[in-house]
Amino acid sequence: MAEETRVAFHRELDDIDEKVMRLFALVGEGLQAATEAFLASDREAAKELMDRDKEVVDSLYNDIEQLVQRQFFLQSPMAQDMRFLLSVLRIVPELERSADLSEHIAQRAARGLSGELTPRIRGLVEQMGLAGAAMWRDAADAYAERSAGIADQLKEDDDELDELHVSITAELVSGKLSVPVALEMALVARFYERLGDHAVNIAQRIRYMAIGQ
Amino acid sequence: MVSPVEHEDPTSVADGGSSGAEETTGLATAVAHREVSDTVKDVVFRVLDVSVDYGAFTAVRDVSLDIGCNEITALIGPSGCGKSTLLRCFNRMNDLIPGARVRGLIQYHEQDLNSRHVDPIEVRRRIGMVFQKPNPFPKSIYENVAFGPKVNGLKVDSMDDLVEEALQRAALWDEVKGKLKQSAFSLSGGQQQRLCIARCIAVRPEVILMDEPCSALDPIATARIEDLMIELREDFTILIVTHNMQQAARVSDRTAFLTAEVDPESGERTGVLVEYDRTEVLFTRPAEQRTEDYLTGRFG
Repeated sequence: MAEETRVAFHRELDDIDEKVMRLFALVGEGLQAATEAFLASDREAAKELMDRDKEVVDSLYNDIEQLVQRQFFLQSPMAQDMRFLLSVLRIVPELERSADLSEHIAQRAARGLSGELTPRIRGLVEQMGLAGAAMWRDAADAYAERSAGIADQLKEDDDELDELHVSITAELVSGKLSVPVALEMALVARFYERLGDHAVNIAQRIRYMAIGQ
Repeated sequence: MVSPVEHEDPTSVADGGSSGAEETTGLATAVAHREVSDTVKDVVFRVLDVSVDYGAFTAVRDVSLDIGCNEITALIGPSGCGKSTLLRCFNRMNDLIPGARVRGLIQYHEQDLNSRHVDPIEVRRRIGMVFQKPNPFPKSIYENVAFGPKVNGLKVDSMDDLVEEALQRAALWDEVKGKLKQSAFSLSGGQQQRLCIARCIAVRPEVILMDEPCSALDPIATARIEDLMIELREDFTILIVTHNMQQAARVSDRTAFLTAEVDPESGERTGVLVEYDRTEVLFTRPAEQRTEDYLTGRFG
């Protein structure tokens, strides 16, 4: 049998793959770090996170988009290569948006919001952070392993995150917090909930990448 | 069994069937991609366990597939996988190769194409062929198109009309209408290939076989031929052998991927059919690893 052809093209695909995995890592770590900074009201950590998102995530996102565009332009990819590139093109905006959401949580940490929360709300935020981070770890693993089966599992995990979101909302409308704090906190809860949605969307793209449907 | 010669064919001259020129919609409106059913419904060719031998050497082994009416079917695969050998089975061109033998069954409208009762000349009128390199006759443009109908005794009201119709359908008329008496060799390579297509369709075949019809052409001429194929699909069944995977993806409704299996002892390469599916499926999510490896260049 002939040996591998299109070696340079496949090297480019490996490079894109490695960059996407770095983005996954940044989003997963960023979410965990944002939750920790938020709960600890750690302004320094929050600021560091916000700066990193702007520089590293945005730069990687742009790099990947350009690289993928170039492969479509130059290589006429087919079969798994085409599915990979198409999926990456759909996954990276979800990653970039998710990094933004973690940054928004970090912004609230920098303002010291958590100091004004009730213990129950803090507990719910912690749970949302843990659930969200677990979802993102699973999504990253599924991406690396091209695992089609993760989509169903992440949908179930997302239901849990949605329930926590409902619980926080119920707690906020009970009137124990000032209106400005409650409004900010409602946004934070919404950011976590959206982070879960993005992980689910990505899982569906991974499924297409793995099996083409 | 009724031979294809006796078979009532809607495109034949004898029954006054239309060749469909009136319905031709023009290149600009040709639609490359359309919905194709999972299985072939209107079967023109049924290929069952077909093998082709050249003497003691088996070039293609145990191929089975159905070819659909008014579909473009692409045969792809690496060099030496038997694509062209298989294509030649569809109009008995292998009969012309000394030592060639076709085993298995090829049915054309449910009739055995290789039956001794079937006239291979008539087969080749109904199942025309366009070759890799444009091969016009050393005659005028007009004579190239008129030659086939004349020698086949095709009864037509006006040969001029038939020549014009064939050239129109081959998207060549506008370029040659003022110089029909000039030598066909005065045309460019792409024009010559379209002339060969006009020559082929002038005898009103049902099927057109194309053996790498664009490999000797530049990208613009190739694009014109591809547009033309999509246009002709409305009235003809087309089988194309191509090395160009993008071309197969662009023009075909179904694709068959063949590869060569190498005998470890003799080193002989025998073509086998690996996968046959709707083109969209085969090029996006092939079922067979060997197809995936070929499409993505990951051999070995």
